Formats: sequence, C-alpha cells, structure tokens
Amino acid sequence: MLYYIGKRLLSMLPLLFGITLICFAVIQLSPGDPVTLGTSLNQEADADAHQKLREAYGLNKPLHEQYLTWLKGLIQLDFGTSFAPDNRPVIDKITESLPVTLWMNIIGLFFVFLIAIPLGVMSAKYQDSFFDKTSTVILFIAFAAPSFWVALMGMIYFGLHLEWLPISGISTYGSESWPLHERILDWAKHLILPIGIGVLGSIAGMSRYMRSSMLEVIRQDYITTAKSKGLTNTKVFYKHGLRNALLPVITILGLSIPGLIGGSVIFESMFSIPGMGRLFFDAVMMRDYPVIMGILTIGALLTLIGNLLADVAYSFADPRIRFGGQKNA
Amino acid sequence: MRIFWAVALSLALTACKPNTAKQEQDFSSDSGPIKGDILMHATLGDTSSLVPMLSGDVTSSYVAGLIYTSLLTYDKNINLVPKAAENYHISNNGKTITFKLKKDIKFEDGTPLTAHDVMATYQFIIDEKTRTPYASKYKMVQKAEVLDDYTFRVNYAEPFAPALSSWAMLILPKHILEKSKDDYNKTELKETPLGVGPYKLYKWRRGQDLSLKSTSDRPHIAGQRMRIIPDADATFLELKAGNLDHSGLKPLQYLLYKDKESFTNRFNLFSYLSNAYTYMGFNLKNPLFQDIKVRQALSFATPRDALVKGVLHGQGQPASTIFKPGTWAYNNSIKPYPYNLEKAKELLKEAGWVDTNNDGILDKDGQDFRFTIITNQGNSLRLRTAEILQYAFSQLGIEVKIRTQEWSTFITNTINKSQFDAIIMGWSLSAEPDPYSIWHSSQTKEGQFNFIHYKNKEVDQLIEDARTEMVQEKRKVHLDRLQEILHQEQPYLFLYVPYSNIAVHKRIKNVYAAPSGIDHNMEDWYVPQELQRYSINQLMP
Repeated sequence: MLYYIGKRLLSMLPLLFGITLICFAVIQLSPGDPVTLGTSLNQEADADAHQKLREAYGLNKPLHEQYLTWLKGLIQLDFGTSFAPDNRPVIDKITESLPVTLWMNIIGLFFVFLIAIPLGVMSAKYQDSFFDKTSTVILFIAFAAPSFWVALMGMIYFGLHLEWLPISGISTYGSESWPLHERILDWAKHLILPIGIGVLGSIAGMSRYMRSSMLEVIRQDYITTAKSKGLTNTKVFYKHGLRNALLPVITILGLSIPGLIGGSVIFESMFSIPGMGRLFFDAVMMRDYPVIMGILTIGALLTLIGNLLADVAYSFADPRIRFGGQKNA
Repeated sequence: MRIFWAVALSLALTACKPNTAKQEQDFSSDSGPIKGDILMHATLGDTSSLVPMLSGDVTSSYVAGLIYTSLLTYDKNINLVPKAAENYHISNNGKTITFKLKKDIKFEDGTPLTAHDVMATYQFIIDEKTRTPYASKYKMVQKAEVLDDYTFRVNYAEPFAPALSSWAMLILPKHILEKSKDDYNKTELKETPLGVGPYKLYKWRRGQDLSLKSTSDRPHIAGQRMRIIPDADATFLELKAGNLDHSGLKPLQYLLYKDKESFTNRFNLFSYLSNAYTYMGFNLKNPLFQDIKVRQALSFATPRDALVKGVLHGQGQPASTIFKPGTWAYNNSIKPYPYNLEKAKELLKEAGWVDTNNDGILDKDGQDFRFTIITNQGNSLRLRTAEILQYAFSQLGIEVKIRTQEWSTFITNTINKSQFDAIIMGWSLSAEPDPYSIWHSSQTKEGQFNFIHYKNKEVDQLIEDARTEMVQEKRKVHLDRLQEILHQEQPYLFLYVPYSNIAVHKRIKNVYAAPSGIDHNMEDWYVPQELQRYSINQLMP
C-alpha cells in the first residue's frame, strides 16, 4: 500500500511539470499582456513607460526563459510576485482569498451531500412515484435557473423586502469588536444566501447521480440473493444496497477537492465576497501571469492528490480492489 | 432542502427587525453643520495600492486624494487653482514655474510639508525603476530645484502648457519615500499612506472595504467607508436598503426611481455631465473613409438625439467635439451635425457613391459600400449604439456589420494594430485639454492613441502651438480652431456625452452638483446632529 502511494506520488511530478508547462503556454496564447492592458487607453502613458514596465516584469525576455525563471522559483516553493501594481507575493494573495472560499465550499459540499443523498435514495426507492417525479422537476428547475438571477431574487426578497438577511458582504461593519458567538452568527447570516443558492443548483446533479447509482445496485444479483434469503426489504435496501451505491460518491468527493479552492466569480461578485474566484478572474483579465500560474498549479496539485485519495479510499471501501505490486493480492 | 430552509429560517428569525420606521423618517430637518457621522459608499473595484502613481485606478485616486494634498487642484468648474501652494508664478518666457508653498501644512506624524517633499515625489516619479505610466510629463522638466523650504521651481526647455496640470500630483512625504530609495516600488506608502488630511486611512481590508477617518475639524463628516461591491446591481440593492449613502445610478435606475417617493424621501438625486464621450472612429487608412464627404455624410445620417434617447434613456446629450461642454477649452460655437438624410445622400452622390446595380447598396468603381463596426464585448451601451447606427446607415444604402470582441483582444489586435474599418469607443476626458496623444500625426505607431491615423498638418501645428502657449485665452484660440477643423473633417463621429446620475442620502447636507461633479465641496458636507446615524467612536475608535 505505502509502496503504491509512493509510486503514485512520484509519478505525479512529471505530470505536474507537464501541466504547468501547458498552462504557461496556453496563457501566452491569449492576446495582450499585463503592461498593454494595464496602460491601455491611458492617455498619459507613453511608449517609453510601456517598455520600462515590460522590462520590469521580465516580459521582454524569450518565453522559455520566463518559464524557467518561474519554475526555478516554484522549486523553492516561491510563486513569485504579482504583476498587479501592488507587486505582492502571489502566495500572500492566495492565502488571503483562500479561507473564505474554502469554508464556503466545504459547508456547501456538506449540505449538498446531506440533502442530495437522502433525496436520491428516496427517489430510487419510490422510483417513478409522484415524489420522484415532482422532486425531479423541482430540482431541475433549480438547476436550470441562472444562478445570478436566483441570487438577485434572493437578495431582493430576503435582504431588501423582508430584511432578514444582509444583502452582500461577509460580515457587518464594526463586528470585529463583537463577542465571538455573535460574530459567528453574523457570518452565518451573511453566508446563507451565497451558500444556499450554490447548494440549490448543485443538488440536482448529485441527487440524480445517487438515484441512478442506487437503481443500478438494486438490480444486482446479490440483492436478489439477499432478498431470497428472506431479509426485510428495508434491510436489503439500506444495508446491502445503499452501502454499495455510495461507492461512486467517493470518486466524486475526491474530484471535489480541487474544486474546493475555486470560487464562483458570479457569486463572489454579487455578494461582494473577496474569494478565489474573483482573484483568479481579475488575474486573468489583467494577464497577471504569476497569480494565474500560482492558482493553476495549486489546483493541478490538488486534482492529482484528490484522485490519489479517491483511489486509496476505494481500497478501504471495497475489498475487491487491490493494488498492483502487492504480492498477497 | 428542508434542513436548509429550517436553518435559514431559524437564523433569519433572530435577525428579524422591524425596519419600516427607518424608511419613513423625515430627513429634511437641518440644525446646522456639526462634526460627526460616517459616509458609506461603494466602489466596483478594489485598489492594488494607495500610491496612485503606481496603481492608476479610480479607487486609489479617490482615496489618496482624500489623504494627500497637492500643489494645485481643480476647482468645481475644472480650473486649476492653488491648494498646498500659496501661489505660483510663470516666468514671462513661459519656461519656469515657481511655486510658493503654504507654511502651516503638516503630515499626520507632525512633519511639516515642504518643497523637499515635492522634490522627492517628483524624483520618485521620474526614477527609471519606478513602475509608473505617468512619467512622461515630468520627464520634460529640464531642472527642478528647491530654492528654500517653501519654494519649488521647475524649468522647461520650452514653454509647455500642460505642465502646469502635472503639478496637481499628490505630494508624498519625503521621509517615508526615502526609506525605499533603492526600489520605490516597494514603498510602505502603498499599504500605509501618510498624508496631510483631511482624512487618514483607518483600516483597509483588501477586497472588502477601506475606512477613512478625518484628522481635523473639517471636513464635518467624521469618517468614510468605501465598500468594495463588484456588482452594480448589488450596489443598488444596498443603496435601496439604506446601507449606502452615496452611489451612482444607471440611467434606467435613475428614471425609475427619480419620482418614487419611497426613494426620493431618503435620497437627493444629482445629475451632471460625465467626463467622457462616446464616438465612432473611422480607420483613415481605409480608402472608404478617406473622402471627407463620406464622413460628413455619415455624420449627417447619425441620429444623435435618437442615440441619447435609445441608448442612454435620455440621460446624456449629443457630443460635438473633443472637450467637455462647460469647460474653458470647449468651443461653444460648434453644434453637432443635424440629422439630415437628404444632405447625407447628396454628399455621398458627390463623392461618387450611387447604387448603379440597383441592389439597394451604394457602389463606386464596382465596389459596394460595406463596412464593419467593431466594439468591445460586454458594453451594452456601445452595442446598442452600433445597432442604431447600423439601421441609420442602411437608410443611405450602406451595409454595416457589427462585431464585438473581448477587451484584451480588442485592444491588442484591433485598436493597437489599427485593424478595423470603424470602431465605437469612448474617451474619458482629463481635466487638462491636451489633444496631442489622440490627434497629433506623430502618435500613430502601434499602441499609440491616434489609431485612426488622422493626419493634418494644420492640426499638428495648432496642437503644438497650444502646448507652448501658457496664457489660457491665447491657448483657447488654437484649441477653438482645432475643434473647428475636426468638426469640419469628422475623423470621429462624436456621438454623445452621458450624464452621471448620483444619489446621496438626504441626511447629508450641503451637497450640490457643479461641472466637476459633487465631490468638490466634500469638506463642507455635514449631517445635522439629529440625523446622525453612525458613531465614529464606536466604529472607528
């Protein structure tokens, strides 16, 4: 097992290298560079200033040199400094935006599973019933509704009309001096709308996935066997069926890990949340290469780790899965 | 799902507060100016640093403008007036400007502001390593010197009229700048500005808000909080909910709410011309547009009133020239081309464009009159403008296609390389009327701003003459003539100047609009005691 994990980890390195190389090349394909866009149509900026800025950022050097400089930094775990005029270290910018996005995504994911799994199981159990059909329709409406519109409606209804929830932001002004429990309540109130609307849109996919997984499992031979042994329907369904139907969820969980650091630009902009989505979006818009590369690299790394974790978790959940290299398989 | 709503409901109930009283409160009472309260406003984008010469964004300029002072500043009618300077003197030959500084100005830490600080700021801007796009005007200075602690003098090789406005730059403290002499880009002023007031930075939470606290008795408003709300609709909702005191309104929002009592009970609305105009520019390298009659014809066929009505919902006025109406440089005798389809058709005929093959499209030498208007994606106003023009020109028998491009592609491939027939764009108008970078024939290289390749010797001469003429009245003669030529030649179709519509909460008194906007007398704004809403001691202890 350890051997397997070690091997997988090692094979990640060339993969990661390849990913960064491709990312670096692809970013360069989009027209414009940070200097052009930073001074574009600024009547007071002349060509001289333009050239000076290009040199300051090393953009006048050939591409492979720029990449090597960046890679050298990365090996020393240095993501470089941002091309935005603040010239702050990329890692500072990321660590500043990361916590709020990470928490929102974890809480969101938790609620998605909490709601979608029972919903999917119920839909499978009472397949084609009234409940199954109405929940499908409702969920797909929630899924199809444009999230920015739902967000606006939520803001207008709960924020403006009922005044139950704050419209935007992540905390009340001046709440730093409040006692902790009031601050937590304050955060919770601010996060209900952005997380809730995000969850609403994600339930559909997850619950349908759960439903089909469940339906597939209960058609298996061993379920028939279990039934023929005389076990109660409930027991067969939940003990034998559900456990196996949950297996694919592990894959989804693993694949969700890189998604945890990615924020939605739409939500973050509408709700004024200073998170990763906005950081990345702004970086792309102004061609802030170091920030883009930093986020992409971390994302790639997390994707690889997520895959590995999912594979490892499988071996625990499903004894039939064995790894190569294990002689006692 | 049910659990979500249960949680939401339980949390929401604790937050439930009856708030109708707030909306019905009467904000008309006024017991006179007094210190206190906090002004809540919002901005769409965060700033990257609070040194505006380095960051160059609006938020940075606004905030730094409240923290630092400058030798000169613009008054409410957009004229340059002394601020930190007691007075200034321009030598007879126009090459030397001498500034006498006021003696009683102190930085927040008690250090007096002197000519040395002006010098240090100037050196910071022209330093080779400083990453600023604004150095060019300062590099024209031949010699800058500190004559004594309160006298600063600059020499130019030749008279340069726009130079004066460059001394509206904010003055940074020398003793802090010096700390990062090796690399000014790392100055701590980027995060912790040290100015002279009227406000100082209280707190900056990146991506969330900037709080400013007043440092003296004036301004009356004791604090300002600028929230960063990247979404314009969310900003409006916050305004309606009473969480913002000051916000710009989109034309439609303005029209829908200007007569709504629930809104006007709480907000005063202000409307003034914004510092920008929208135009359609012709690529003059394209033979299609080289004939002046063709450009004039298209201008006669442009329904400017319909554009203002259809695109801006009436919130603007037709544009006719390159300067802002109401400022000294604006040529009052120029009126926009009136809509006259007959005249347009006549001009096109004179230029040789007739529909010889009866396919509905004008042609000349076997070529149809077709062209493409390009504009940037995501700007619905410009797109609508393009659509209206498309229809208007079709009335003449001209076929127009419209294309939109993502901003950076638009700038890099289309504008900078002059790869277009016609474009719809806008220029923001700086307070300093210097047409050099947009209209001079030397400015047509890739990345420069005369991307329509307008070349006219007389215009070049007028621009240069205006630049070397220090007396405003004489300078205006050149600029007036320049505007007449541009009006005649129509290298741009000047389309419209939009209004800025601003809502300000009614409890804030003494706010009025001038050509420069409403911020000109911010130090005199106040909230009477009985209407004060936020406690500065509580929120910014």
